[in-house]
Order: sequence, then structure tokens, then C-alpha cells
Amino acid sequence: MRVFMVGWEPPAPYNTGGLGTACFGMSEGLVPHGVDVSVVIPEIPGPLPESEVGLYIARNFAPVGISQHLTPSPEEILEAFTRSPYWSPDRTSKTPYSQVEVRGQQLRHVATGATVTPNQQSTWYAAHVAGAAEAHPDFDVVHAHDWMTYAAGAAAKEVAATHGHKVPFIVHVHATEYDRCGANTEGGHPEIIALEKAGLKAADHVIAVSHFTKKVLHRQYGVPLSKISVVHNGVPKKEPKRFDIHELKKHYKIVGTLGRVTLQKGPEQFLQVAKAVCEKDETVRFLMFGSGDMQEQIMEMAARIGLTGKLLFAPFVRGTDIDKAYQMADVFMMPSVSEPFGIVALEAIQNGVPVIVSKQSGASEVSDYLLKVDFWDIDKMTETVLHLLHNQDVRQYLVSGAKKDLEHLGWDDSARKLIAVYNQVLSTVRA
Amino acid sequence: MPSVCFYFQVHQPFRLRKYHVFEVGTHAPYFDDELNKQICKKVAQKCYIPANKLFLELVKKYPDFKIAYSISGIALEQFARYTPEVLESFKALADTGQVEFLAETYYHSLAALANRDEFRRQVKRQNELVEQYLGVKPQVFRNTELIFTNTIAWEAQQMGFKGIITEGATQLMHGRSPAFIHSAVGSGLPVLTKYFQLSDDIAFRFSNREWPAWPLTAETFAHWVHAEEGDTINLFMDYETFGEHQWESTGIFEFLRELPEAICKNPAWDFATPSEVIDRYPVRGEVSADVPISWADQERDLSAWLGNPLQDSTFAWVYKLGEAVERSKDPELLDIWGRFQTSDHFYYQCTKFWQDGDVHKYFSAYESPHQAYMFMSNALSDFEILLKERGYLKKLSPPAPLAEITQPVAAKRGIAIAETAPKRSTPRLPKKVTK
Repeated sequence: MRVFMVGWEPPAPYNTGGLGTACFGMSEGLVPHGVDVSVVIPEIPGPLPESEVGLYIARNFAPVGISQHLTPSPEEILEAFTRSPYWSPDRTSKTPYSQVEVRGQQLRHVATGATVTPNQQSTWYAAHVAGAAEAHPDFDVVHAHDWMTYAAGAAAKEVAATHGHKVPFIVHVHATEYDRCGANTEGGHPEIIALEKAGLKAADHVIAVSHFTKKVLHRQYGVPLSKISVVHNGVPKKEPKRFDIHELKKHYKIVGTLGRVTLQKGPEQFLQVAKAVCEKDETVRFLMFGSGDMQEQIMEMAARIGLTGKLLFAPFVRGTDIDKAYQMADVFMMPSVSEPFGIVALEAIQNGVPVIVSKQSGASEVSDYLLKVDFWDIDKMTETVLHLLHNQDVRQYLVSGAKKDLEHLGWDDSARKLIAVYNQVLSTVRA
Repeated sequence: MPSVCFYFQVHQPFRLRKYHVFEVGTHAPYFDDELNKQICKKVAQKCYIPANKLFLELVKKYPDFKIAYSISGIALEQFARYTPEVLESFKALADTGQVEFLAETYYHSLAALANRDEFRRQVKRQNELVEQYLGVKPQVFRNTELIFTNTIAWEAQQMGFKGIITEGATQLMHGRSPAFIHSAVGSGLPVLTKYFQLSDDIAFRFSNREWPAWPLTAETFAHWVHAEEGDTINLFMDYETFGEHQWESTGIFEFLRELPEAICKNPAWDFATPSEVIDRYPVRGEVSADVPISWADQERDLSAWLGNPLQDSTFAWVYKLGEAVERSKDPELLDIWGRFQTSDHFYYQCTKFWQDGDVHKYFSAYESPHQAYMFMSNALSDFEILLKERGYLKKLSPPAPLAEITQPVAAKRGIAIAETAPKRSTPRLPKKVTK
């Protein structure tokens, strides 16, 4: 079987977010099962890494004209904008838009760096991916990841059709605009939502990274449940680099979080918990690793509610520093408002740190040893944090239990499920 | 015979390192020696060395040309360490007897607003260092960034100074002319006030091509000065104006070179140091400041350093640690604590966004006020642990969101502080009538 993956972020070491990791992780998982995988991405900032996975750089292919049915018309976009209650030209970052939208119309073109709209970017990518598909038209499945790639995936399917192949188009949802804008039904970039809806509609099948996301797709995007399969992300099996006990840990009990500081990740909830915990126990410090559109606002809020010195901030960390960051914590919190998966929770486990996740996350589905609390339930979250901080036995019990569950969460397991989905869809399409 | 009184602020902070959370608890150095050295050398090349050379020339050429400097202790310390030639050139200026050196806080701090004992300690220490390096004893006091209240004037008088220098802010002068000596309410200490229009013509507008008076010549400026009525025209500015803020290419040095002659062309006018002005002219009225004023920004108040939660909370934290540091009597800890008090650290955290925001950005060593807050918080966390390890800090006390120190200030400025406002859930009870 030959799979044409339409990705977005480059693979490690160039990746900046979870999408690149996931897309290449599952591709590499598929190869040992005899699946021939080629991934197309817009561009790569350096030399191509060695891999068994084929890699096409879209901008190197001449664009091919495609039909425009996947890109909303200007009238449709305008209508969506005027319906959006948060739309105004002088919006500030405080309105519930996704991170892409906070940068607003300043979305950077991935290849030229020019300012573009989501729609322009998506169309550009589709034309170049169609070019790549035209050059290598022998594939059985098109598999596209998130809104940037939907139009491109559909274009690849069309190209295959012109060559006489009946190829199913599968959409893989890692995150939706609904998640990114913090589960606000009226937030989000109207144009991105329109692209998502068009892609989900055009897809022959949809893969969600969690049951949580399946529910979002059904409720918020109207995708029939029968069209959605759930394949959890894999967690690369790795033994993190161990660091000595950090000096700070000798003086305080530490609660950490790591991730973009943005509405979706629940930074305000983290602040509320920090305040409540610090009021009860003076020997606790909170750490927040990561940057994001809300970081400045969160710092000011922290200072205002008396958390200066109690909640410490650190910018985005990379490489083994990530392990170091996890290992500084006694308890890890992921209070996301709407989190399709949440790999950080599982990375924390790998680093031996017990985890509290919000119920509104995909990660909460993969192990019973992650403590689950509603993101809005500050009291419960506070109680849980204090309980964990004061009970080492419980912490150890949770970590060792969760580690066992992680063993069944490799990319190999995901690949097996993916192949089953491919076969099922192929049989329906070809029938 | 009216005088022109020049005074220049010379200051370089010990900038903090970009202190990472990973370093908290490891007692990694707090201050960025490399960066501080680099900046000190750069400013020395662009400003201190050429400007001192020029002023020495002028002082030798015109026996009546007088100027004054206020150099923070930590600036002197950095000159001694990184650019000894700058220190020597200041010594040469001091030796002429035509140059006065003023007293201020050693760390260029806001201690006057927060901790009286620490304030006095710092002033004493700066005086000692000035005497040691330059061989003169300061007689006139000028507080950090010309921050002034009646209480600060009273403190200065208690410490034996014969006068104090401040901004001729409109909220202080109430229409009176800054060209006369006034006395501070309470202490009666003579107050010299900055003539900010004329000072800013040199300090800020000199190179502005949009400004109708551009290019400003010494002759035109002298003409403006001569048109003023009063005893003393106080021209106070950052020393870095010469060569650093106004680059050499703007012609600022030529302007200065010609200024003494242009001013003295009118025989009624001369130059005087702050001490001479105080000795020579009578006190013509009173000024009073209960709410602090300063020379910073459009507001000429404390809002460059205090007022947003980032600034207020780190400021409160620094002074909260003071108790433990003072108890230690350890010179090393006292010095670190002093350096944390330097006003620049709070200036970098300023989030005012209009016109003045640009000025703050220009002077900041960090990408944003929030970065400054982050690094300072991390460094202070480490310092807190250090104090704890040495046994001076028993209980881990959290910083108050807003210190008692800033609250009265804010209240006087008519700013409602959210934390103190009554919560909606607890309705206010009617006042009881008591006899």
C-alpha cells in the first residue's frame, strides 16, 4: 500500500509543534508494516534528514491548477466574518480567537513570508501539492493533517482521479479551531473554520486523535459519528535523560506546566490553582514553561494576584531541557480547556512525574493513572495538587501505573490501527 | 547677575543576567558582567571620554565656566573596574575646582520611598566613594531621577546637605518660575528646580529635524537664555545626552564648545554650580510636594518605575527581603540587595505604551517589560534561597501584591487599587454614628 501524506510541519529537528512529530511519527510507524509512505510538506529550513519515509518539498513542484470547490468564495468568507461577534478590525489579543487568528491577518506565508489569509495559504499549498501528486501519482490513499492541508489533500485526490485511480481522501484531525480558541463556539477564525468544514465534508473518512476530538467533530462540525475513527497518537518510547535533583526542589515542592501560553491550554486556570495552593502551603512554587500570545497577560495577572515569586516563568525550552523541565516538577498539570491529545502529559509520565489532566483532553483517555479534573473545577484541582504533593506513595503509584499504560501507546500501535482504517476505507471506496 | 547652572546625571546600572528558572537555587551570578562591561566601554567611547575632554578644555579656557555632576556609586564602581580612564578624567575635572559633584544614592535606587535607613546608608556610601575617588565632598543632594518630596528634602537636610535639586514640574511649581530658589515646605531646605523647557531643548529636541528651531546654534540658545528672567537657569540632563542620545554627528559637541562664550557675551550672565547658586541667591518662595515628582516621562511622577503589577510586586519583594539582609550585616549580601534596588530594573518593567514607551524600550536591556519581570523574579527567587540557606530568612514570606509603600502613593494619585476595593459579595454596611 502506498500512502500520500500531506503534512505541514517539518520533521525533527526542525519541528516547532506537535503536528510535525505526530505526522512523521506515524509515518515511520507505518513503514515496518510494509506501507510505502511519502510525506509532502511546504518547505524545510535545512537539509533533508535521513529517513525511510519519502519526503517531498511542495514548493519545489510547479503548481497545478485545481478546481476551487474546497476554498470558500469571498462572499462566504465575508458572511462568516460579519456573523462572528468578535470580529472587528481593532481586535486585541484578549478576544477569544485562536493563536493563528491573534496574529490575525498577519498569518505568514510559509514559503514567501508575505502576509496572507488562511485561505490564500491553503490554496497556494493545494496547487503545489497537486504538482507533487502529478509528479508521483502512484498512491492508494491520501492522508491529510489539519486545516492547512485539507485543500491540498483533496487536490491530490483529484490529481489521482485524472490518472484513473480511485483514491480515498482521509482527514486526520490533531486540533480544531474550536480547540485553539479555547472551546468558544463563537470564537475562532471564520475562514479557518470554513476550510475545516469543507475538508471534513470532502473527506471519505476522518481520523480523530481522541474520543474527545471525535465528540468535538461531531458536535461542533456536524461530522457523522460513523465517519470518524479514533487513533490515539503514539508516544515515542524513550528513556529521558536523567538530571540530578534540581536545587530548587530541595527548598520547595514544585508544580509545573509546559506548553504554549494560550487560551486553549488553560493558563488562567493554572494561575487560579497556583493562588489557591500557595495560600494553603507556603512551600510550593509553580513553574510555567513556554511562551505564547497570553504570556504577558498571564504575567500581569500573576503579579496582580500576589503570585510574584510564587509562580516562575521560563521561555520555550528545547531538546534535553524539556526533560529537565519535567523533572523539576513534583506534579505536572495540564489544565487545558480543550485538548485533542496533549502529549506533554505523557512526556511528564516518562520523566517520572505524576500528572493531573483536564477531563477535556484526549490524553485523559489513554490511562487510568492520570488524575482527571474538569478544567474549570479550581477547587478540585487545588485539592488534588495538595494531595499529591503531600503523598509520595500516591505519586509513585500513579507514575508506575501510567508508565505501564504507555507501553501500549507506541507509534507501532497507532500504525496498526491506521492500516485497519485504510483497508476499511479502501474497500468502501472501491466497492 | 543671573547664572546658568549645569548639572549632569551620570549613571550605569548593574544589569541583571537573563536568569533562567533552571538557575534558581544554584546561586549563579545575578548580574551580567560581560554586558555591563560592554555597555560601560561603549558609552565611555561615545560620551564620557569625549565629553569629559571637552568640558576639561572649556573649564580651563573659561575660568568662569562651571558645571556639576551627580555620579551614582555603581557608575563609579564600574568606571573603576572597566574604564579607569573615565574615572581619571572626572578626577581631573574635580581638581579644577570649577566642577561640583553632588550627593545621591549609591545604587541610584528608590530607597527614599521605601526604607529610610537603607536610603541613608546608600547616600553615605556614595559620598564616601566620591570623596575617595574624586577628593571632593558633596554638599548638595539630588535624589534618583530627581524624585522629590518634602520628606526627602527633610531627610537631605538632616544629613547635612545645603540644598536639593529637583524637576521644575508643573505640579510642583504651580505657575511659579523654576528660575528662582525656593525652599521645601517643612525643612526649609533650598530647592533648585530644573528649567525643563530649555533643558529638553538640548537633551531631547537638539537633533530633531522636525523641530522648527533645528539646527540649534549656541547663539540662538544663549539668546533664549538671556530673554529669561530670574536668578538661575537650571539646565539638568543625562550626561549621556552628549554623544550617546545625541550622537556626535548631530553637532552636539560643537554646540557645547561655543556655548560658554555665547552665554557670557551678555555680561549680566555667568555660570554657577548648584552650591554657588544656593550661596549667592535668596530663597524667593516655597514649594511643596507630598506626592513624589520626578523628571521622567510626560507625567513627571513615579509612573516610570512603579504602578503596574509587575513593578509594584517586584519592588515590594525587594524591600521585603531587606529585613533579612539588614539583619545579616553581611557586606556582600547588602551589596547584592542594593544592586537589586537600582531603579533601572523597575524602569525596564514599565508598560506605558505611548510616546514614552519608546524611550523605555531604548534604554532596556530586555526584549519586553515582561521579560525584565521574568528575569528579575527568577534572580530574586534565587537570592531568597541564598538568604534562607545562610539562616537570615526563617519563614518564607510571600511578597504582598502591593506594598504599603506604593499604596499611599497610588491613593494620592487617585488610582483605585482593585485589591483594596470592597468585593461585591460583601455589601458595605452603613456607617455607624459614633460620638
